[in-house]
Amino acid sequence: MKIDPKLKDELKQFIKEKLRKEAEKVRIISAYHLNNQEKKMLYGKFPDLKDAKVEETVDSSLLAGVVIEIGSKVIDLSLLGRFKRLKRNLYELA
Amino acid sequence: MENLGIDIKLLIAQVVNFVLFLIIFKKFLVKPFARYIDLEKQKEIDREKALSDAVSEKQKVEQKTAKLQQEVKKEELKIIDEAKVTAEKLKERLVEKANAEIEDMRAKAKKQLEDERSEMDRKLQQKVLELSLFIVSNAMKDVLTEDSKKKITERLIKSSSIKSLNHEN
Repeated sequence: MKIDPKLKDELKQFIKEKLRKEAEKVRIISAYHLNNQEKKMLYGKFPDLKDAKVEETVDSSLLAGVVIEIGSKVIDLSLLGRFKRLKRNLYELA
Repeated sequence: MENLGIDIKLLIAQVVNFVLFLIIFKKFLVKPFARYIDLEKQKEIDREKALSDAVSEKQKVEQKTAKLQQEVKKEELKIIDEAKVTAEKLKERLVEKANAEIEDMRAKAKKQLEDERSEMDRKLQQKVLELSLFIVSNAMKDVLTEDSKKKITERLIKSSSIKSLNHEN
């Protein structure tokens, strides 16, 4: 089936745009609702967050700390994440 | 003489007859007969000789047979001895090989056992670790107050070595 080249280009553009938006989307998952002071501290540590479109979520299983998701990248600053890393390190030692 | 019943003419005729008979007998009967007797004797001798030859030949053959039997028996015993020696050597080799295989199997089994034990220990350690972390994280849920959560969050953010969102932890 031959696709119209114009349609093909438009589709490509659309997918690129969607991926770009997804890459730009930032999600902050915290163990509890962050107050303004804490958000300020976070934005102070990561100034890039100020320009991004941030979505905030609460997940009590993190125990404490935050997890920042930027597109497919994940920055884990949670207590649960620390425990997981500790577990991994101890596994490697064992 | 006539009174005794002896007739001289008859007597003379008988003697002459007898003499003639003797002469004829000697000439025509004795020689062939003697020759025949000699021939028979010779045949007899030849037969005797053939018989004795046959007997001695038989003895020789029997001796030879006995000798051969002895040799065969010696050879048999020799072969049996050699076979015994070969079998003994083969048996020793097989026993050695079997022992070596047993040792090898033992060593492999020991190694396998040790590997399995190590693996079991490792898994046990991992399980203990998982369980400990599980217990700790679950306990933390109950133990952590809001204040302590905030403090921990602050410390986690501040202590992070990530400077930019383009870098991962």
